[in-house]
Amino acid sequence: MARLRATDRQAAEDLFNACYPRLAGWVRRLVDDDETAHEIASEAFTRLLARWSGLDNPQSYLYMIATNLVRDHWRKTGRERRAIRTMTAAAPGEAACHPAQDVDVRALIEGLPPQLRSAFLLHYYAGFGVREVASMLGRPEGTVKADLFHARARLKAALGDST
Amino acid sequence: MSGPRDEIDAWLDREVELLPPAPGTFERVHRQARRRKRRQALLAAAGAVVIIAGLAAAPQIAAAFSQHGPRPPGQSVAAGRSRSQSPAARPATSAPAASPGTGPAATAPAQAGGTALSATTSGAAAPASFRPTSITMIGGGVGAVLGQAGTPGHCAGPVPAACTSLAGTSDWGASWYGVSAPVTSGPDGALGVSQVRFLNLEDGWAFGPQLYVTTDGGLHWSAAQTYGMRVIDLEVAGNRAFAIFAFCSGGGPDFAANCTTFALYSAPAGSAVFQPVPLPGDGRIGANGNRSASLVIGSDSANPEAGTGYLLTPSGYILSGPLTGAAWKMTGSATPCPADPAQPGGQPSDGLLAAGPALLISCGKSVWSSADGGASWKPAGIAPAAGTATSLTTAGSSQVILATTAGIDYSADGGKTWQPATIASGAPAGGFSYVGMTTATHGMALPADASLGEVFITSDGGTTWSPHPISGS
Repeated sequence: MARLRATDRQAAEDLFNACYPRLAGWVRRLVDDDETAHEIASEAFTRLLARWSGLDNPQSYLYMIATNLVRDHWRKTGRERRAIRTMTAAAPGEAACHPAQDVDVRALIEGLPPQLRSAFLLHYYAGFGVREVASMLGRPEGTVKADLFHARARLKAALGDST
Repeated sequence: MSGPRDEIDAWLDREVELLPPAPGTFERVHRQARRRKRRQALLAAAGAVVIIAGLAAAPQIAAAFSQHGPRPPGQSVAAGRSRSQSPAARPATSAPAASPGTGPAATAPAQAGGTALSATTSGAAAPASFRPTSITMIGGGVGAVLGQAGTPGHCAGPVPAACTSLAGTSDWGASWYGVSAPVTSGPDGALGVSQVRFLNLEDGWAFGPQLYVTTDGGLHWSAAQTYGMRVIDLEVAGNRAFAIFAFCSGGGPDFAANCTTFALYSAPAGSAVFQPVPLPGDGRIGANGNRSASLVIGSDSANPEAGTGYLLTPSGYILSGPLTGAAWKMTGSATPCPADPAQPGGQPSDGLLAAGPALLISCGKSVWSSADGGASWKPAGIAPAAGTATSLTTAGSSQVILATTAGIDYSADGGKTWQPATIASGAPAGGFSYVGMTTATHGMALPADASLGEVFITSDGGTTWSPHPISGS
């Protein structure tokens, strides 16, 4: 059974130490909950380590997993979160306690079509270049550029509508 | 007032606030990943078996079973390649991380991937021609021996010289079964292993000079990073392993010879990453000629993690500290004697240290004891005249047992007076290389001549010892 060699394990631990805080912080901005952020970041690393030896670019893989887990989380909790948001919005004075802009943009990203959303998160949020995102998503670079353009356009339009 | 574009950019440009992991997160993640991998491999193996079962016609299965049959109880996992196994029936991810029983020569693991230490038996017989070099006991009569089996340099598998083997016992050494071993050779300069320690049924370390770690009772072994150094001693207690790493240039079995710098490292059970234990100064222990260093643990059986570790430096000082990985400190003045150059197993040839109710050190023909953790020493007695001391141990109050090149001697009064132990069938030629007491009554000794393939066992506090063969038991 293939296992992490000591050198691989050291490399994995180095990657963990270097990437976990940022990945978990990245996820927290998307899920707005420390505990869930830790769960998703930990699960992403678990999946990464479980197939470590076969990966060329572990960091890309890590963010791809995290992006999918965030998407799953959004799907599962969509109704709950919408209900909570409605209640929060209805409670006077509560809004000042939340980073309203953060929540609004996050809600808008959550509403993007999956194809646009993945490219948007990986490029603008996780900081991967267009070529890397194209490789991660298995799409041509031109398509990714177009997806990013359309994602931004939709967000701008949505924010314009809401202001 | 900001426009839509500014709002998006501001959100995107905002620095991600870092969210550090809770302590121990990596270890937890690593464990989970390992379990997941194991499950995947087992599922893959099970799938392969199902496919084969589906493909084969029933009469063929019956015929094959009648010809080969299930492996009879006691058949060695080191039985070479006599038992055929369809490659397709092996786990899909079958890269050997451990050799079942004896190096890569074995081919018939009792479980997927190998055999593990057990409180009963692994179901596999001990490898043939076992030459033990190290023994470890974890209590309850369960323990393991590490050594070489088969013909060195003629073992099958990916590492031709690898004949390192493991055997386990659950009845104080009366009988032995096969356990998977790290795929490496015996000690040869910077390579191979010669010693083993198990903390419990799962966590084990094979070392000297390389370092391998298992977290599943030997089923799998992984090499641990030693930063270019050799592991010349390692002890386990509480929930951790402590090891002396050293830069050495000794060749062949003298892997712990000619060391220039020593350091103490530690790792918690379940981790292959050893971290330096803070020591006085810059954390490094300087050399003193060709003298060695050794490590013992003074355990508190009621509270194993509350014990104390002791390191004898080449200059003869004792460093001691907690079993938590926290800093160790210099203890008092120098001991009566420094650790002499290492024996082939890594232990000093003089300056033998033992920890029990008291801390003991043998210096030439004298034995000294310390009741204050090495701060001060008093002469306890004169060691027996016959032979040269090779190993010292104590477990009970006033009990001291000494292995020598002539036999085993014991003292029931803290080293004041000595009696030769009774050894059934007589002391082996060359005497003993190691003696250790697991409890005040039970102990094990290894003959200096490993080719005897035996361990010697006492169950009466060291007064009588009887040999037990490892292979064919």
